[in-house]
Amino acid sequence: MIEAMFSGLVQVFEWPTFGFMLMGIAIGYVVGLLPGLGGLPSLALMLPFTYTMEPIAAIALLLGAQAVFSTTGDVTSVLFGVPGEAASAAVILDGHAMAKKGEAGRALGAALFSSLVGAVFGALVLAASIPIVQPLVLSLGTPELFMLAVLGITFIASVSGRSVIKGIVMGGLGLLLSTVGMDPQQGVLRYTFGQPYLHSGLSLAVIAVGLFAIPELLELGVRRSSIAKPGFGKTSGALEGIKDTLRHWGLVLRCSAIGALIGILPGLGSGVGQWLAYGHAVQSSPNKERFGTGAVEGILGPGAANNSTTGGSLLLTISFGVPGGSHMALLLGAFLILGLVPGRDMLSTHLDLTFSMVWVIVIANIITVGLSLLFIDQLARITFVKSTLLIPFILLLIYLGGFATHNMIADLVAVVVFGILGTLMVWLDWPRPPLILGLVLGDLAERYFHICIARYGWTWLLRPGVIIIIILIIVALLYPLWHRRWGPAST
Amino acid sequence: MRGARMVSALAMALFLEAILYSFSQGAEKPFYQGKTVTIFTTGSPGGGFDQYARLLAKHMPRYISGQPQIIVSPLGGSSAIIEGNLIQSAKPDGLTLLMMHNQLYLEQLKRTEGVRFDLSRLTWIGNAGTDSLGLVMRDPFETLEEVRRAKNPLNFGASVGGASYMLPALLKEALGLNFKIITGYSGGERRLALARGELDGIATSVGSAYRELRDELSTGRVQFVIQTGLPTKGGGHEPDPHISKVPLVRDMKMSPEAVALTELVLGAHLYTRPLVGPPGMPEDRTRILREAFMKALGDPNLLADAEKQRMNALPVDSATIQTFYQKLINQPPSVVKQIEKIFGPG
Repeated sequence: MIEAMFSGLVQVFEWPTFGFMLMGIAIGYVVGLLPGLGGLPSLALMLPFTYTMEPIAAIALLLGAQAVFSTTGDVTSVLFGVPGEAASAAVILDGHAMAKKGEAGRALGAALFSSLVGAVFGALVLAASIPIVQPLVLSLGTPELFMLAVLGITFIASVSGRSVIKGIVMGGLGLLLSTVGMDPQQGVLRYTFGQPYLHSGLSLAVIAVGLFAIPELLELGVRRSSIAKPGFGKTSGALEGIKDTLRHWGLVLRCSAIGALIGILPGLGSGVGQWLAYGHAVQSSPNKERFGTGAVEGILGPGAANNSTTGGSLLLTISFGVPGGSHMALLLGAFLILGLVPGRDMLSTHLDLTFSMVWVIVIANIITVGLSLLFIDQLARITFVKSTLLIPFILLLIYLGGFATHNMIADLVAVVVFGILGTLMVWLDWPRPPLILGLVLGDLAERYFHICIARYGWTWLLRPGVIIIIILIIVALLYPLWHRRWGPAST
Repeated sequence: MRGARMVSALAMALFLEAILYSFSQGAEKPFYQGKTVTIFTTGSPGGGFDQYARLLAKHMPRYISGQPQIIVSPLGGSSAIIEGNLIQSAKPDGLTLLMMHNQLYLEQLKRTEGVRFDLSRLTWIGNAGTDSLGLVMRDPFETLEEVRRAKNPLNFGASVGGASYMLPALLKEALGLNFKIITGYSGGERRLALARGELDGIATSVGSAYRELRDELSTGRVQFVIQTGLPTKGGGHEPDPHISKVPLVRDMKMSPEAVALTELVLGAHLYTRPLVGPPGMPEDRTRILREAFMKALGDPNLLADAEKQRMNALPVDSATIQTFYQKLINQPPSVVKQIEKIFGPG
């Protein structure tokens, strides 16, 4: 195993593999920054170029890009409040709030450095889990996955901000929105109002762009100044963000673990992982009221989680041939073209290649974050540019981000509708994250619950894994009450 | 003298200019020169439809006069009905095509809400690929006979409305098999559930199974027990060469009603990658595209690329595929009712 690890490292540094990795990083960097381009279509465009490449070079190109999409996606989220990638939406809440306070440099430093830690953690999980991944994944049946989705739904309380009741209402709305489209059991159309656009449900990317980016844009337009509100003084540096990451190392590692675990589980992906990590960051903080107004922990959690997911989902892809998301489905397609068949071979005969994937994730992120840190303070100065110059550019980003989802005009209409909803929510002080969490978990919870009942009747409730997760849920729900009443603060 | 020479030289130049001008008028610039053709694809980027569209985008321009650029635009997993409506209402200028979902005809038959397309009016370019669909069973079921003898219902995982649902539902009806079809699984979830024993069987294409269940197939933990087969040139069917001993659905003893239903439902699984354009495309451009399509699919470079990606390229000309789909969508009400009974109403 050690030999394969070193062989993998050497292969990554060989020419032209290293050159292809740099090319992949460059593409991933630009695509991550611009929401309209999107990681998925970009990987699809790169795919044909790999037909004639050596497997290791092709992996370096594709995985080099994939590894940095969400790292640089966080940059757009922080600077403009527009999610660079769907997986970077949770970073907006506190990242953009910090940018408005003139702390864009610090926020970017925290987002990038936590992304690096998350990516390295995910890669280590990938390497360490190779011997146990198959029995581990096969031990989790649909009942356990359902209970994990329920555990995720309980995080709604954590991301609700000042009013838990409002959070629960918004979480309920999110769950309701997740039922739009064809129901997964009978194929019956629900809440489609005769519109074929709604048959396949609402897109998370479209809703995230509308809900978060439009209210920010309107606020910027009304204020008629720069993103960073005047009077907050000089941009604080990226170094401070790096120090924040080290100061909250426990949180960053825990959120990296959440991301990696979510990545290994089929069907979840970074869309869920980032929000669970955000919820955990809020839950574990003694000053919950700071979140949403520029708490650096609100960046560190999702920043780490959305990158560690890559290692986790790659593990699922190479060991079972089951892609942990659409990006991984494309990578799986590339592996097959290159003659690499997922399964035992990738964990034995081709172990060096599997390790070279681990190395590509690590090295690509080190290079990306290292390069970004060089000019991050210059990038942060964008937040001091006058709004009249910025608004057309941000508007373009918003519409590209919405349109790139399905290449349909209807997506732009949906962006506007959710933009209006998001603006109303901001004005009336209703929390937006519970809506997103309800939306991403609603579909999973509904499908898994139906499968549990259809397959096992009610006996699934007696499975040991299910019982353990139920206990975890009860503890998670009761702990804050216990803490308030009998914890150290109450004395 | 010198002036006369100059006049005659000028006259000669004018004459040559006139000849060149008339030639240039005669040899019109090809329509597709400098143009961009967009192939919209059903499903997500990197999926089967997208793969075939990209293959054609790479190799077809060589066979089109003017060598246009062909780009592929995945519709990102939107509803198949949207895609049908999109191509129905697209400008028929020969620049917009769709790699169509092969089960779209079921939506037209069932008159599903929102359907605004009519497959009989589309401009058919051809079909690019095929794949045999089969039932994969876990231990201890090795043959269809063993599946028939099962006393307890066998659990099948499926996505509602997809091929994974269609085949077990059809076999349950046509052969009276004891299946319980559990919907709500995605493709990856189904395969994992089969591997851990949550499911007894799944329906999948032979190509996908050899990519994604290779370990299980090679160790005999799972096996194909029945398949739909591949089309032969004579219009018949033959087993997929990877599983040549696995029986064909069409060889099973069935009632005449079940045979008719099987032909209808499995029909579209012979031709899985149809390429279509909007209704009323100009004849000359349609001809150019159809010829280029067939030539590209015979190109050894395209076939080599397809082989690398384990795709079953199968060129079928526009007339054959159009007649085929025309037959599929012209069914008596009794058959439509049966379809709705098995696959749900529209």
